[in-house]
Amino acid sequence: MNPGRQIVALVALLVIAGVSLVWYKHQVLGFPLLASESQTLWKIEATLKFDALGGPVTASINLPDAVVGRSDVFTEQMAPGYQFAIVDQDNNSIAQWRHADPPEGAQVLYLRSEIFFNELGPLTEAPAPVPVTPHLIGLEARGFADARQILAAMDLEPAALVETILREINSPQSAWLGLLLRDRSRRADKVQLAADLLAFQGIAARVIRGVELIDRQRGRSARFMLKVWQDNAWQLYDAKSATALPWTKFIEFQQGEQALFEVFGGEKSELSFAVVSEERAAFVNAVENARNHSSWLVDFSIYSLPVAQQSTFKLLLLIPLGALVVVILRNLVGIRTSGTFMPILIALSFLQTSLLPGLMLFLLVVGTGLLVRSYMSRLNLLLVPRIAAVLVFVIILYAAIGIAAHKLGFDWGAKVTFFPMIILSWTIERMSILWDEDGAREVFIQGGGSLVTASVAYLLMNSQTVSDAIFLYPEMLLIVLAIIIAIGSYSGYRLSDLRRFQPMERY
Amino acid sequence: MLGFASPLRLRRMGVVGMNRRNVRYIAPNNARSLYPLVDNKLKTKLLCDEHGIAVPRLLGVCRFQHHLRELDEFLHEHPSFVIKPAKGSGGKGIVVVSSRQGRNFQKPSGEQITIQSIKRHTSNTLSGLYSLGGKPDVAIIEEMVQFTDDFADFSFEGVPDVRVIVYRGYPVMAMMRLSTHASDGKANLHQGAVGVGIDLASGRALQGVQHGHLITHHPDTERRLSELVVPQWSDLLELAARSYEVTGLGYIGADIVIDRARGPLLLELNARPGLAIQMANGKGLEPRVGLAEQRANDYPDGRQESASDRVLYATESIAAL
Ligand SMILES: Nc1ncnc2c1ncn2[C@@H]1O[C@H](COP(=O)(O)OP(=O)(O)O)[C@@H](O)[C@H]1O
Ligand SMILES: [Mg+2]
Repeated sequence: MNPGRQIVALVALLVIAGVSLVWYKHQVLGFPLLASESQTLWKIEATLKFDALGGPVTASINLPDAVVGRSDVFTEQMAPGYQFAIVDQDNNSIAQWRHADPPEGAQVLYLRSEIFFNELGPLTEAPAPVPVTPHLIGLEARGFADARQILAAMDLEPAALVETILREINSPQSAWLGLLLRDRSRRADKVQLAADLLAFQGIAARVIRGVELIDRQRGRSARFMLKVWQDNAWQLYDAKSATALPWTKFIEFQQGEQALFEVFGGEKSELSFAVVSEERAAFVNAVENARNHSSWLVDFSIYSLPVAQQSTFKLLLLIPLGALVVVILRNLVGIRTSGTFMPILIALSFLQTSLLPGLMLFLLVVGTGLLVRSYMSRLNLLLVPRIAAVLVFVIILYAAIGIAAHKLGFDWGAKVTFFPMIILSWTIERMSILWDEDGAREVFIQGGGSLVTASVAYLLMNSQTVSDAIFLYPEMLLIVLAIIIAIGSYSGYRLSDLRRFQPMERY
Repeated sequence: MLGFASPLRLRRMGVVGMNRRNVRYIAPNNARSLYPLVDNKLKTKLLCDEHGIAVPRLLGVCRFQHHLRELDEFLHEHPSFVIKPAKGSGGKGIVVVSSRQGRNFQKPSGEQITIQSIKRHTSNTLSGLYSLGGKPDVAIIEEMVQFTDDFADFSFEGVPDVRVIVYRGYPVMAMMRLSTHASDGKANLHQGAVGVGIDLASGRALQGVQHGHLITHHPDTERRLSELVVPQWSDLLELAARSYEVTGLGYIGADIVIDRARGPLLLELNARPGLAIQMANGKGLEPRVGLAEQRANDYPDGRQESASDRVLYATESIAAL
């Protein structure tokens, strides 16, 4: 294959690889397209309090069942002296604490989880749940029969039916449930009554208990809700307000006969919940999720590094963008710079200092450096000692700027240290030679070119969208590489050619 | 368009831009391994000498800092000489001394310099001040070229040289570079030297350009540029053409000066010659390079025409484009 064809093939290959990896991560692993997309992360803390009676203690909390489209990440538990384990019992996860001999008196156990929702589909179950009617005798049977009659007379849609029943069990002096409600003072029993009534109407319903997802709550006890089988999926109803709720508002910890929590060897046990929500970049959740599913794309990526190292790499990943800017400005626009990749280093410094202070500091250091260097050229020093002298001077200048700025109350002065001093010393040296050999004009052209290039590179690298995107999809570097290679074989005019040869049009 | 040429029109004129030069002409024709031959003027010189290509005579080479001590004594025998960095470019670090004034040296402009400043200059050269990337270098001391009077009024304070672009051994375009007051005696076009396109067929001036604008007279000496004729033109072209065999580089710029006594001398070869020559000629390089390419391809298996036949082809066919 001739080089031209090879380049086309290589570029196509890189683009295809880059695009398909990005697509895979987005579509399959659920990475957001923009890092700025955020998701709500719910942090739920369960607090189990009880008084130990003396002797061994076993305490447990029933954990929510896994739901497709919702990710539950157990994060931590706190219970000094207790042995903790998550055990599976009859298809149910249970957080369990054991202590052979806890000190007598009040005990507090904590459990923390983080939960976020991706795309929660309808909650289905196979086979479809069946309505469970209670076995009735005596007065109960009468009460239910009356209620069924009244409900039948109302002739309601299923949803309205559920709401009507729920409203009714909440009202203290219900006309047609009075008899049944009198014996049911406990909340659980009232909601169960609603489920039973629905069962008689041929609708499956279950009493569940769990936590409502409302931001900044503490000391809340578990709430009872009703889930009703409608349109082949469970629909959640708030038993209190008698309205339907989306499943993203509630986490079901327990259903029916299961115990929400149990304490053996303790009394006065009490479970309460605190809920806090946090807006978090969607990709953080995606990464965690992908890691839980051990996807090789994530396992062998920077996300597998500790966070501190990730941020180093985040900076490294930006350098190709700087290189791309240099390539574009050089080979398509035709800007001349002093030192090919020096602008990238300057741009990296700008990232620390931000643009305007960075430009000012750069001009200050290089400008003063040039003055000193021009004096030194009169001293006829040898090359290496001369550059070393400039380097020492640059460092003295750094210190002076830092101190002066501090005294004057500008805190950006100290940021001068972010400039790579060796590079600056060389820049000063090179520019001073350029000045001697080719005149001030050339110094301004190349110095200006370097600063323009550095500024453009900075603007690109500093853009949150861009840097997050590269961090999210480092595969995009393949595309950057493809562009660079493509430009490398571009043989058309540069903008500077068009400017330069413009007089030829008139000859 | 405001300040920009239309790319289509440039295309039609066959004007070659930087990218095209780099990607199409330099990359496929100039093997990297051959670069040192031309990037180091000392190597070029020795190589050319070996192949019988006329160059300014080498007087000596200063390789180490301790050579500087003998420099004074050495220069005693040479009233006129040129010191230049072997790896320099763009006229940087070149000192031309035309005569001695007592203990001092005199430049062609009349400025006097001391032996100390020559030593310092040479020392800087050795530490790589003028070389690409600041790499350590050596200083070449060669004889000063005595310019023919043909160019007497065409150049101000400096030495005119002829740049010939040679593509696969065929001279494709030529220009003369005249230094001016503005260019500070240097023959560097972007510094304000005058570029004069030279007709390949006859060695006569075509048009003059300064800072990209057409001019008819030398800005300092007021000589009509159209009167400029390069003597010994076909010898000069043959010298340029032969540099192809010597170096193996397919796209080169040969810098040639004409010595009063010895005729055309090769000053240096350039593996990345600039494109301003197109402005001086008012023509694009592309059709000419295309024709040379075709002609070279007509001779398969590495065989090729002799240098004089190539010059003939250039003056008869390529020059017409
Ligand atoms: N031997 C010499 N005698 C007189 N002038 C010279 C000599 N060598 C170089 N020069 C002058 O210096 C200029 C640049 O020299 P050259 O060898 O082409 O170096 P560069 O690579 O810097 O262009 C020439 O155009 C000429 O004006
Ligand atoms: Mg030259």
